Amino acid sequence: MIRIEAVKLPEGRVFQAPTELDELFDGVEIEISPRWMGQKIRKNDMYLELGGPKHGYQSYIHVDVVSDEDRVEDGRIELIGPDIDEIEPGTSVPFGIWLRCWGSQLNEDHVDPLIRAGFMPFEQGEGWMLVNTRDTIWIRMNKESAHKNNWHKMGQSLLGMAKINFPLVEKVEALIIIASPEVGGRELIQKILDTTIRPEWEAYDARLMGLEDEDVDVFYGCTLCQTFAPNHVCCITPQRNPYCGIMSYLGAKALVEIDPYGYSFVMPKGECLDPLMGRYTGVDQTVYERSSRTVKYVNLYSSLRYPQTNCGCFEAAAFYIPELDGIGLVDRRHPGDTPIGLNFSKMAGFMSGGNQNHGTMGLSIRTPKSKKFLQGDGGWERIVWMPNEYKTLLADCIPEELYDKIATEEVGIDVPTIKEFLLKSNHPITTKHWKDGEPVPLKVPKPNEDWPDQ
Amino acid sequence: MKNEKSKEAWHRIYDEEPLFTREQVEKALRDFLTYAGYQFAPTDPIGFMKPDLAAHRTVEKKRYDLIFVIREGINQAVEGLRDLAAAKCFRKDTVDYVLVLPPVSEHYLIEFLIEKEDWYFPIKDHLLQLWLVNPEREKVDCLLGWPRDDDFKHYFSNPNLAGFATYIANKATDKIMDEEFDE
Repeated sequence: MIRIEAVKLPEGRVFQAPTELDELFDGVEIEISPRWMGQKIRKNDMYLELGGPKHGYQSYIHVDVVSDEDRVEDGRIELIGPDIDEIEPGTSVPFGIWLRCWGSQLNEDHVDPLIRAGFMPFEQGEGWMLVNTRDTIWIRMNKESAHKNNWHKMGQSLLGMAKINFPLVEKVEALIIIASPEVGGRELIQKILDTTIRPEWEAYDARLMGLEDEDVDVFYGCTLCQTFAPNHVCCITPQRNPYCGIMSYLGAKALVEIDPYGYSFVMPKGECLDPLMGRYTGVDQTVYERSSRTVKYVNLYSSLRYPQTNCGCFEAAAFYIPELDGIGLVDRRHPGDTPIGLNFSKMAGFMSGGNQNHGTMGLSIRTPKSKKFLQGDGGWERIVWMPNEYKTLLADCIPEELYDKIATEEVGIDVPTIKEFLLKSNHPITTKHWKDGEPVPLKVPKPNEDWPDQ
Repeated sequence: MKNEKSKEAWHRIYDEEPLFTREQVEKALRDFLTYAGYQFAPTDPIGFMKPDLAAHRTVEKKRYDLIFVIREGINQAVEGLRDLAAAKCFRKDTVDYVLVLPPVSEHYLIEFLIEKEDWYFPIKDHLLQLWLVNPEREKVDCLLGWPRDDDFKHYFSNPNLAGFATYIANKATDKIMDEEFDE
């Protein structure tokens, strides 16, 4: 039974869901299918809103994995707060859903993909809208589907989806809090978040952030985007998230454990040939095999020499500026041109598709937070330009002494102006990479071609 | 971008060259549907449009019908979706409506659906589907929506790609917020 020690909860109602696999969805009236993924429910069509901006996103879907089987009552659903037919149409309330799982082979590494299983009945449920995840979650149900729903059935769907999508789950129960004012409203949810949920999230994140590429025996790969970019292979390491930003190293690890023949796979490290560039024999071999034998080498920590290929969903990009022998960064949201005369859209147009474009590389928003970020190219000391908004977003990971030396669109987007700025601000690139105060442009090979010295 | 807008100036034109002809895509789609146990029906006009392909399958008295509009790339997608919407006026929810494209640039598709344009919303509002067919690799994937016949999950090359809708929906959050709060 799920109990939250730090917060006194009102008494709830308890339902029992079927626990046999072939009965998991008995009585569930809504269709749960990818057909309903990504629905948008407008304000006027809404019967119920859970979480979201009206409540400062103070809501949660949380999953924990316990090692003691007796701490989970399989199929138990506890509802604290009103059921769906007990509220007025158009109601908006904060909420909390906690799934507790046990399985003999289940461990804390599985929490990330299990949370996704927790989202599924909302993500794929007929008449439901799910936006965002974790601490920015926002859910709606439309009026049309209200009569088909109650929290007993929805809880049953949550437990069922966790079991069928994650066969390692042997027992699962749910605690659902619909935080109407009489139950305690936002204050109750906030207390639970502050005392119990956020510390668990932070511990998980800290564990993930603490992992380094040297600490693990294998990396993981992903070819989900090969439908668009047939030769693209994404390399996922503790210090290198996929460009799309939807997965972590631990998430990929868990995915492979659930579905060893899926689009995510183990990428053996093999021998490390170059720790600075991030060159591994196992990575080269796996990428070569999975890219239809088109990509021979990949340097994990370089955008200049043999970078990873790009699909098209990268959240940001690194690009070489030959006239400055430096690297610029730009994120998807920046609408303006960059110093190479292209805006993000045009740049992404030629970068994407699965080619190995020396001098350009897709990034996730979080990639620059990695300690190994572009270390093969000189790291942050090689970054000379980025949009102001992106720079602000990354302020905590840009070395303090460099922050004011990186140009933004406010300095300019023309090379002479940026060059003057770099010299004036004593950007380290001017002494470490330039010769006699002048940049020496690299002769970057064409896409998919080799560097002359390879 | 060659031109930011089409001649009609109400949707964008993307710098994309067609990789396959409509005939190649149609042949690959036919092969795929045959493999999945579907039969083909005459492509009679439906109201003001004529589908490029119509297929059906019956499983335990349940009949699944799909109509397909095939286009060469993102630049023809709006026109294809318009045809599907026209068909839906007449056939309502009795069939699945599918726009079929060859492999397209993921980046341009993201721009088309949500970043530079908003076509994602009417597609989802009307439960239209987007499939990508690769004649060279003989692969078919469902990117937006999902057919009523769930058995397709055994035939699509990567059923997980249906999650693309969630990826786009998350990108759509800002636009949803604007609509909700900028009144």
